[in-house]
Amino acid sequence: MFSEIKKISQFVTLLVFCLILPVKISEGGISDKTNEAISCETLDVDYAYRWNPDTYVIWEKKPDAPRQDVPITYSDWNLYRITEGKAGVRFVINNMAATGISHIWIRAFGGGWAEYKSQVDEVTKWTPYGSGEDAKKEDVLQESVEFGHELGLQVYAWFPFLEEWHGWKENSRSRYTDMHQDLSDQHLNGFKTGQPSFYFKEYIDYKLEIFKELINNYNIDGIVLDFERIAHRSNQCGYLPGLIDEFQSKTNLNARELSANDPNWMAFRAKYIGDFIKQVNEIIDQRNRPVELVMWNVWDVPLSAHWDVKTWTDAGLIKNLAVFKHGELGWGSAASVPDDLYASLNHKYKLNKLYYGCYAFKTNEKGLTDRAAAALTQGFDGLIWVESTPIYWGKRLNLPREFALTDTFEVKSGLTDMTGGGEIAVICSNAWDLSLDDSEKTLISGSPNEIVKIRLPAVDGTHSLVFKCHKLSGKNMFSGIAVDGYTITAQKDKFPLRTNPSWQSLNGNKVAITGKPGIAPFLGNK
Amino acid sequence: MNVRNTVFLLALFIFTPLYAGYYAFEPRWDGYIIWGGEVKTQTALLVDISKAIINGSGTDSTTLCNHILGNASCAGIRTIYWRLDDGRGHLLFDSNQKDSVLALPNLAVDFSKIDYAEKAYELTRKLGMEIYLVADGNYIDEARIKFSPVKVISSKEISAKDLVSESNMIGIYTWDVARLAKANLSGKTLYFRKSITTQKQLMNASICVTSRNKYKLYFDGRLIGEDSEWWIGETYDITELSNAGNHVIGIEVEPDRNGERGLLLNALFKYNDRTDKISTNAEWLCSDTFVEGWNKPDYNDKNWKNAIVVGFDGCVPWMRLIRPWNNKTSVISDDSSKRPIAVSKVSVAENSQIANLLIDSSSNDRSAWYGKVPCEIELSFDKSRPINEIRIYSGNIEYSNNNSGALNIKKYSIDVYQNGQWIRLIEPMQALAYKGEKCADFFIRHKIDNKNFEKMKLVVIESFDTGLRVHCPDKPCAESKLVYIREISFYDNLESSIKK
Repeated sequence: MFSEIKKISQFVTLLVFCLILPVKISEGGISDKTNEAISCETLDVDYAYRWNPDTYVIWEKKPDAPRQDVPITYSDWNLYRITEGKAGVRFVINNMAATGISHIWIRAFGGGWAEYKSQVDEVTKWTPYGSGEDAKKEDVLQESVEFGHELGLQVYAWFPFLEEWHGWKENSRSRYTDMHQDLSDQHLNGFKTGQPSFYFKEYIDYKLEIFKELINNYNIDGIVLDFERIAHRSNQCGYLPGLIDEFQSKTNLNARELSANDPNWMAFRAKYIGDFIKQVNEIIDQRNRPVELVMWNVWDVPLSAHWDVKTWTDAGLIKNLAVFKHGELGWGSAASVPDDLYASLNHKYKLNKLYYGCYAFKTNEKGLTDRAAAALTQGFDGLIWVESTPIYWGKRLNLPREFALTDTFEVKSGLTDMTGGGEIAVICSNAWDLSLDDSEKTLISGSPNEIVKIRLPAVDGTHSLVFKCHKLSGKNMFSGIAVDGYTITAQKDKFPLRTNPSWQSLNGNKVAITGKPGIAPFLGNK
Repeated sequence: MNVRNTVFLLALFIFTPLYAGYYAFEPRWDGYIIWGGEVKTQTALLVDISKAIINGSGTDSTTLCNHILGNASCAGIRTIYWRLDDGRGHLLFDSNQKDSVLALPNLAVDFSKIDYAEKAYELTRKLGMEIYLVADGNYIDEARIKFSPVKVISSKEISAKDLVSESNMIGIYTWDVARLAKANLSGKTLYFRKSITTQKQLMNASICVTSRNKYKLYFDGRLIGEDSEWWIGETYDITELSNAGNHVIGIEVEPDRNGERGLLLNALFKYNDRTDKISTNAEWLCSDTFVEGWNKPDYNDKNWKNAIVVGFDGCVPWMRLIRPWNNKTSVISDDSSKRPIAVSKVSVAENSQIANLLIDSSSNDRSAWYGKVPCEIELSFDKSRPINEIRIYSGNIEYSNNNSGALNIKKYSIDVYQNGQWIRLIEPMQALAYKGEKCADFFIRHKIDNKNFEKMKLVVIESFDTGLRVHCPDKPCAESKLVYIREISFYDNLESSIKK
């Protein structure tokens, strides 16, 4: 009898040993018996949950996610809503990051207005729409750089350096143009355009001062020279007496007798802007950190009185080109994009990178998606979603998201000692289930964009939390999950448990930051 | 260092800061933007500032309050209920109950550090609004002490029947604001007057004025000037009209049909030893009834009512207002025959396809067409008149409509009918906006040296129209190449100065 009991006891011990041992060895497993017993308890929480600053919203990036840029003009956002101050900047950038955008272009200057703390005398120093005293203290560019970098974004200064005010009323005109009519460009008939000319050294110096501020005072990753978005790109200008004389002395041709579209005369006028870009390159070269210089322009006009793409790319002044056409007809569908656009531009110019601009203001979602996809198929190195305000308020943020982020996401935390349980808050763009390790059992589920606070069960040993985020049934514009809390170790210490890019996708793809919680769109049940 | 260098350096020292501070030294508009009559409805605004912040606003408390309350005043809202909690247990002020005070760290918002209620109170005082702070629960007593003398009430005491929320008041100018302004404020042409007394030895007197939408400015009953571009004020020199004695500034304002309305006026009367400033405020008198002589000093205005404040310079949605005193404008001649000339008949050439005629110009000196290009618009007068100036305003003003191109005139010509035949007055040319000249909006102005004619024909050859519309965003619409003409007006001898 005793021996039988002993045998049974040995068998049971062996059985228990066989069951427990693998768990102990893996230090991440959990027995079915334990699994059945454990459960989570939900606690009260709401939008005002104070997310730890080290918590990031994360999601799985598609393996073939392209580079996606978005130009941002804060004054445009301000027309729609009050995106001012630190909260306003964070609101805009967080929303962009939530779609898988990788690069943001902050409009740093335009119409004589700087959206950064410029020390150049003739620059008006804040956005025209920031009326409050507090607004003048804000530095949109600085906050964008800091917060953008925190989210892993590349932050570029977008510099519409050919003086422009694109349609706003006179009170947002360039102050410099008002104060320096003596530097105005002019037509053949003597008509003053009101736009300063790069022929004048004073104007170049003024522009270089601004450029130096951007490069030297801000930790930007790139700078975009905007040739596309200018008010005046007519070839009728440049008829300044000195310029005409210089042209004559070098070519023995009288510019007054040539067509304004004469290639030699256009190239000669553009040369002065080329000289400016040469100095820009020198300033960049002096900086310790690499800065990508991108020329943004229309794709079908290689030469004008304002630019000479062939000469500049041959000389290495421009190595990266973003092509786009603002609201023009014929640019609104995939069919309108020439099949050989990428190849022909690359054939014509010596380029490192070639980016493709999608005009988010116009056309429908399918049209936008089709032509963006067509551009990538051709070989373009990235997409630029031009006009961030309509892409936001037009609820078209699903377009960049679809290129960058997966629809579903299975992610697990690192191993953490859960002997004493723990507490976490969770917010996710999608519906989700929580399980432990490789268990099939769902401990708790959550709804999209709803903050849930959970008391974690006490389970011996170290475990990983696994979140399975499901595909949304409707339009999915944002993707992300954030977890913030702690587990309690066997020693009763609190061990932080927060989402960050070190969490692992079960698909093995890269995990990217797509925002911070506590800021739209990851506010939750507000 | 010689004397010349010293003088030069001294001058440089004195003038450089002035030049560098070009804008900083310019004055802003004084006073308030006013409108008249009684507010028709008792719509009140209930503000939960936390919602405005989390929905994408700013931490800049001044700007945020300015947006919400500026829009509200523009919409004719006179009563504000300002919540001190968010209805979910979080306090929106620096309370002794620290744990309950809302903080959104990732948005850099902490209500224990930024006193939005105080900002709101300051602004409502400026705008002449009534504000109630709304508090519930056991912190109401604390709020009453903290915010005294501001009235703190419980949410049950909110008496307004019609409440709108802060979400209607976000942005520069929203349709919600326009809709409320139309419902709350008078849509009639209003008459404003202000009696003033000037002393002897007046050195200079000038008035700077702007309005939404169109004003006629009178001084002692005499028409001084008129305009309809709200973002820039006109400055009139009235020194020679301002003899010592009693005077009246009278202004007739025709409101914008979209609901935007208001009047802003600054006047300076400079003497040897002082400057008297006059500006629009709630003390100005207003009436919606035209009575002969209303704009003259001897008119009895005892039945007129006080104006109400609907904004100020820098206040949303007036924040794009150009600073005053920049736009010197000639006073209209006192000869009553030299007034803007009314058009008697408007016709559209048969070969022009006019999509829609918005306003019948024959009953109004304002006109607006929305037509296909090319088109011809013919305007005739009762009799042959000497015309000194033609002004044409085209294009959509609202930026939200600019997606399609502004539909403004790009290329045009003008013919006039003289002595039984049509004569080309202006050869086909590009509008100023496309020539790069400084111009306000899409404004075409031709001075034509008192030419006599009975009719004028405007031929619109080309417009700025991309053909893309909200309803057909993918491809050009069938009705592409449209033009929108807001106003054509004729003037006789406008440049005559009172000094002549």
